[in-house]
Amino acid sequence: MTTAGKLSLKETLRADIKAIGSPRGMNVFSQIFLLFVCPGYLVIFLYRVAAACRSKGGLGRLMSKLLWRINIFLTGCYISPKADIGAGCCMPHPTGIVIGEGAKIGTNSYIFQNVTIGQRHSDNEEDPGLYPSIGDNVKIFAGAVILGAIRVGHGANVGANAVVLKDVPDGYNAVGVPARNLSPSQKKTEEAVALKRVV
Amino acid sequence: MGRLVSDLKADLAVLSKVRGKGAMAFVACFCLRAGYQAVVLYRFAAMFNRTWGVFGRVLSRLTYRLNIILNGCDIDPAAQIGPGFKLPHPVGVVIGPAVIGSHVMMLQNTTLGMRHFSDDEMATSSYPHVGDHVTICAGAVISGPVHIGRGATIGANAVVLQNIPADATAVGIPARVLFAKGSDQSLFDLRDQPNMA
Repeated sequence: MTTAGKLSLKETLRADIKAIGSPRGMNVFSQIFLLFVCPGYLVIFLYRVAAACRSKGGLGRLMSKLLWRINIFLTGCYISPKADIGAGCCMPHPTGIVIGEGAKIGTNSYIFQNVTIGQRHSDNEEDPGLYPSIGDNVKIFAGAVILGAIRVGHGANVGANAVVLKDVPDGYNAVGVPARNLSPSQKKTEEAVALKRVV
Repeated sequence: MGRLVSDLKADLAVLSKVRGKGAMAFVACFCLRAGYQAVVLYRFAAMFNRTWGVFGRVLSRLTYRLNIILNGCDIDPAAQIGPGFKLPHPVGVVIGPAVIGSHVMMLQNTTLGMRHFSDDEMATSSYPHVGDHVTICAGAVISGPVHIGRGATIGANAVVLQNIPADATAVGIPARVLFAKGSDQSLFDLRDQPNMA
């Protein structure tokens, strides 16, 4: 479902910069500018480098752990270097984001603040099957929680503060606690109904 | 500059148990209270953004970054926040270029943002307008160009997509108006009526 691993670190980061909407490239000046000024780039940069370090043996693992710690210190985001996040990931306000180690996220995703992607039962920490698998072009809005070995389809939207415990089909919207799956047309009707409740 | 000082005084006045007076109280609260520190950093970022041209914008951006690093609090310098703003636990607070009245309290992990990607990102018109004396409880998300009336309370983890009248309480996903203060019905009365609660 993801293309991470096929692209090099540089190409992945280039896709991430594009996803943020910045016209900047990969030269040193642009990198420094983005890391200082754009928190959304800092968080994904630290995660990418930590993930790349992890495959480089003992010292790399230590580096990866350190970078993970620095990411928590600077941005307040717990993104495990073992997670698999596809190229072009955009986190506009990176604070309080928790992504577990077995999570798989496709390309061109939007992840907003306070989102949690984790396992539902922590009995067996080694089993990566307990984490969600998220498709391409998915938008996960503020405060959403996605738990367990579920699949969120391509182009799906997860609404603010939703708690998703079941599979979400491609292009559907998951809203509420626990989340209900709404097709795009259902979402429009529900929104209209909600807005008519205005006093 | 005068506005900055008066706003900071008003923000200090809404804190409880402040010891001392004047500059000493300001320094002590800035160093010791994360919530006040977050508000002060936002006030400076907003002041830099308003004045001093390009240099001010750079300073404003750096102050905004400092606020994220120190407090995990992402408040856009273009947001217009009235005096007496209170953030008791500033972690995870995200505020876009919204308009917020005076004496508003926001708890942790609350979001004021826009609803659709297609909108012009910096247009204040696509962000919420929050009235005076509003309390926004932990985890609430208010999105889109909605108006929150004076004195309203937004419940924990509510997702507000509609206008909320003055003195009302909004709860749930999507938020519904539960009851209004001063009306005959209290929260406990409503619990007995399953169709209302």
